[in-house]
Amino acid sequence: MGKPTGFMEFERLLPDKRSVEERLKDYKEIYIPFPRKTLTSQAARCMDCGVPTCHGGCPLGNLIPDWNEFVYRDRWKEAIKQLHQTNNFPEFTGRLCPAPCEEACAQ
Amino acid sequence: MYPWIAKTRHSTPYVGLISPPPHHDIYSIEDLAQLIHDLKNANPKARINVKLVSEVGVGTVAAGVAKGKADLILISGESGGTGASPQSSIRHAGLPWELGLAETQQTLLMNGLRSRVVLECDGQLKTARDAAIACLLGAEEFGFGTTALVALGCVMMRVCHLNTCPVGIATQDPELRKKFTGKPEHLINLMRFVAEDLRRIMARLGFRQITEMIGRVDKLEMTAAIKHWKAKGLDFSNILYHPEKPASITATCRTQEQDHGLARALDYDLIEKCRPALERGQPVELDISIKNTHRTVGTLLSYKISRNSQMKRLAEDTITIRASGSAGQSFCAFGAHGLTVHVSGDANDYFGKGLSGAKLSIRPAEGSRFAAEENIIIGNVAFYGATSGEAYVRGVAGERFCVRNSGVRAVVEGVGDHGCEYMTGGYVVVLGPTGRNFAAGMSGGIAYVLDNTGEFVDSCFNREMVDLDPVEDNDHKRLRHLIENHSRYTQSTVAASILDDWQSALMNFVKIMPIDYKRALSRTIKNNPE
Repeated sequence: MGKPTGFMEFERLLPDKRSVEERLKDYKEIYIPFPRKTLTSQAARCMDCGVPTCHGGCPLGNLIPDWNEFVYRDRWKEAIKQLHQTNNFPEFTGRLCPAPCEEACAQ
Repeated sequence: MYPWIAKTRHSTPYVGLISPPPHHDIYSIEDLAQLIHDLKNANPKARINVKLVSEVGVGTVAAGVAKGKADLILISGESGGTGASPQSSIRHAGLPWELGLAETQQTLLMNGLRSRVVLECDGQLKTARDAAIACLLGAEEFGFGTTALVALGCVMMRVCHLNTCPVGIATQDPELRKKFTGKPEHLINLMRFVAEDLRRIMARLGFRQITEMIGRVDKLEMTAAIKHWKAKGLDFSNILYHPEKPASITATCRTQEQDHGLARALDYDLIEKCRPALERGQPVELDISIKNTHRTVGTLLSYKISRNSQMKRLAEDTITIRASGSAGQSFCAFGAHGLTVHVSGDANDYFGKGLSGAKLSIRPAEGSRFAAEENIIIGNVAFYGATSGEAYVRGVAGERFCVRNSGVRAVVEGVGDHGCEYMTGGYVVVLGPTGRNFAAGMSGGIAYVLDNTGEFVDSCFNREMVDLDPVEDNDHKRLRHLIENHSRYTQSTVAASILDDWQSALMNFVKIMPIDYKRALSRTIKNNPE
């Protein structure tokens, strides 16, 4: 699952923010969304551990490797279905989330 | 299989190995006893361990293994193992070690076998308490696997088989190996604390030494505090049972060495006579007579050769032995480079098993009147797991010829069923009929079969992993060289008639080429055109 060597091939990336002057004028998204290709390659960084420590890191117990796998395979419908299993409101929790799963990640 | 891994495993680069490996040399407890004997001959200083899965009836098996002369029996519990194994094999693969250990200890005690073997226990042992319980149930050694690895930095990613271990433990990737932060001190620290903790438990129970503590089931009791409803019907009395045993049996732990019977080996005589070769590399020639009660002849000698030469090879044919008679089991098992043995007579099972560079030839005794190519001359499982060397067999071999061969060049005049199964390297020339299922799971090496009747192509071989290729020009030279050697060493009439009519004999040869191996060869040629 995922890409076994993904974490060695792709660097960790963060999306860029819009400039402050621009953001002052509206209430729109702060981050500039990644292109799809970047999203799938970032998802490929997940190693699908035997003991997924991210499950423990997430206060909701989200099944992170599962939907990373789906995103990597470009199967977004199944990814959101997996996410909904543990999380009713991924839209706004996702926006606020400080990603404790990443802190817990074996990488 | 990367080239650097293939080197350490005596295998062919870029050819996969089938895991877990099949043990076609041990189908019964007698076979196991023979294997233990062979291994003991191959290195008399090593302890021969046999690992058993904890399950119902393990005691009976362990009794057999103790009688088969193992030095140590390891009872392995239901959980744990390599991170490469699937989840379904990591938990509940058998019974908890407590059950198997108790059964084994009781069976060995009742049969007066406990004093000869060390009992070890593993399967997710983590604390001194685990070790103490194992000890009271009968174990004198304890295996810590996962815990020790975690102390060295393992994060239990369970990717040991993917070469992507992010902490640099189970990987050969130089970049990832840099990430390994474990130090010997980490492990020493863990073990020191486990030992310290165990000392405290021992002090509470009033034991001075581990040996006093082994098998003292009377010191164990069930915790009454377990309130879980499922614990209600549990009865541990069979586990904590101390068997009635004859007064003559007093020890509950190992007190004596196994008698492996090495003192009776023919090899000590051979070693004495080969001293000039072992010490100074001078050629030695010997004539000996053998009987089939001489088991594993030539293995202790090979042990001495590899000990003395310190990984340097003895020159080819330094020691030449002409043996006459009926060779016993495992003749010249693990035979080292520099040793050449010509047998006239016949041989039992495991002829040249694990051959490591020696040259063997065998032909019927002088004056025998039967046709050699129509009669079986060596038993089953010949050249099992052999890694290098040469072999010329004038006559038919039994079943499972050259299984797991990874480098031997062998010529034989017929084989039984399952020939060349799981072969990964080397060349096998069969100048006669083969049984069914030839070349099953064969991933490397090449087999040439003389198919005069067309029967082989029709029904004998297993097509799953191999192709039938035409015999090409570069094969001709190799084939001719091997058959000429065969003729020279064994005076084979079959080989002589083939050499007489070489061009038409070539038409009847089929070449069995593993698909994996073909791919690997073309890859090697591409990387290194020379």
